[in-house]
Amino acid sequence: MIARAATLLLVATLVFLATELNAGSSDSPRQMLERMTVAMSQMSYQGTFVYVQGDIVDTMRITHIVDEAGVHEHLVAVSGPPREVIRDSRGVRWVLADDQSVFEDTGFNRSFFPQLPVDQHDQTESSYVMKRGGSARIARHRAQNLKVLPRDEFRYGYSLWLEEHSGLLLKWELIDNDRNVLAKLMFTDVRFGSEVDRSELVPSSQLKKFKTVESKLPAGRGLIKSTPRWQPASLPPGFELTAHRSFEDQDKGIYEHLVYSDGLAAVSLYIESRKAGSTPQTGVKRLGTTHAFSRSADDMLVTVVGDVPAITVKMIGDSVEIGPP
Amino acid sequence: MSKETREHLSALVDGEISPDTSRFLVRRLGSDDELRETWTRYHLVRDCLRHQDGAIAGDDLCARISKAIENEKIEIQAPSISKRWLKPLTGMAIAASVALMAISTVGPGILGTPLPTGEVAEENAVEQFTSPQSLIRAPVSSQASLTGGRNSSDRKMDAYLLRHYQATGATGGKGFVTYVPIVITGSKYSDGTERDSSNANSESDKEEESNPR
Repeated sequence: MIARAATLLLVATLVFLATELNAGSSDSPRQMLERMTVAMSQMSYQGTFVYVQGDIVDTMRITHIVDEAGVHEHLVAVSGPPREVIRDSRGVRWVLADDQSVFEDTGFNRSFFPQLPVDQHDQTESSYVMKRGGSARIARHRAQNLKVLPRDEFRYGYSLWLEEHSGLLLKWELIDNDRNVLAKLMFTDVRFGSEVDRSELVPSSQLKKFKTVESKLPAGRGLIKSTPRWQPASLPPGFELTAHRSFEDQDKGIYEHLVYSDGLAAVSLYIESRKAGSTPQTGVKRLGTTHAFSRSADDMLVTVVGDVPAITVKMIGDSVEIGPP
Repeated sequence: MSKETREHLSALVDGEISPDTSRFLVRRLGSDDELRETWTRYHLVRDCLRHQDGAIAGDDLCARISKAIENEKIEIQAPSISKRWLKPLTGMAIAASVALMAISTVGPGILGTPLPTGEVAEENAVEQFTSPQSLIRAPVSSQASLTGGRNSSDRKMDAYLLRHYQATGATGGKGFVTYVPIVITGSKYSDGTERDSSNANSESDKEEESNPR
């Protein structure tokens, strides 16, 4: 009897271990995306990766630590002029080496905006084709490929390689609707948990001579349940309003921030009072893989920003009809 | 492959190894495919480091390796940059690792073996890292004000961009990847001209996937 119980216990243990070892091996694409989301935000990790976009090949370090104080993140280029982004509970600081400045947005609390889990957004599957790919070895870890491909030209897709146990992103490719790879990122080494060196959170000493410039955008009030005073007449298929913040002041004028998302891609629409005498730049601009579109409408400035193709920001920005508030 | 074996291999490439170890490694090279491939790559790195275009290396590859190494040299020559960032990768080790990275981007095709096809071949394959095509036809152009301070219009766009990333960074679950492109390219806004698809140089996914629309 004892021998039989011991055998059953052994079998149960082996089944449990086998299940653990194969964690993620049978996940659906949605489950893989969910695991990646949790891993990227909740795990502590650190590593070196290479980023390629067109003629640009650059090496960077990421340190991401989660503790009782929240998230501490430091992204730094390991060569060339100091280029860094520091994120923590105080907000985001973006080092602009060209300008010898650190640009800060500290008046904003991320929790103001709701996170949109992939599995709760009905539009995701009508906007993307998701399928598991093969497996590969990246930065000495086994990784499972997941392809998230756009169904139209209004959004980008991704090819993701996720560490097979944790779901952490080890390789990322940005893909357009014609299946061209626009940018790539791949870890060359990565460590997790207690192996992470906390000292790498400290910003570069070179930044001491940089001036600090504060973003002057107001935080605004959350208004997701009320109808925005202005909205685009045309939205790309699958995009829905997911967040809305508003600010109005007799001196500073009106500031509206609306976020539209298809579950994976997100676009911000800003409508703001134009300062008297200002001459805003209009048209489409690009920074990295982000597109922005600006235009003036009466005494308001309409700006659309998103990690989406230029056609998407232009479509949204052009279709906003600015009438009386 | 063990670290010791890699060190021996590197010493062999540089001709700095004892005759006994050399004989042992040469014997293994005859039967160990992984070792032979690594040996070939080490030679390629050395040739590029010495500005000798290898017979099997394309100009583009050497140019990319040289460019990557040049970038790393800036860091090595700038003592004011904190050494903390370089703890795991110092000196020429950085150059070598970047160079190896660049080579792995070219993959086995350049080394005389066919590229793997299909998912069976993909299993256990060393990850390739070919350069994606450019987003735009023209190189990232500099705007006025990039060197002499930013005007109010640039600042406004900076503010919109950073707020957008904060508000939506978690959407899609890609975390820090959201911020990588702006760290790489700095604050150089360019016009939003779409890419020229005729310049495509990485179309692996095209072969595998058809447009579902």
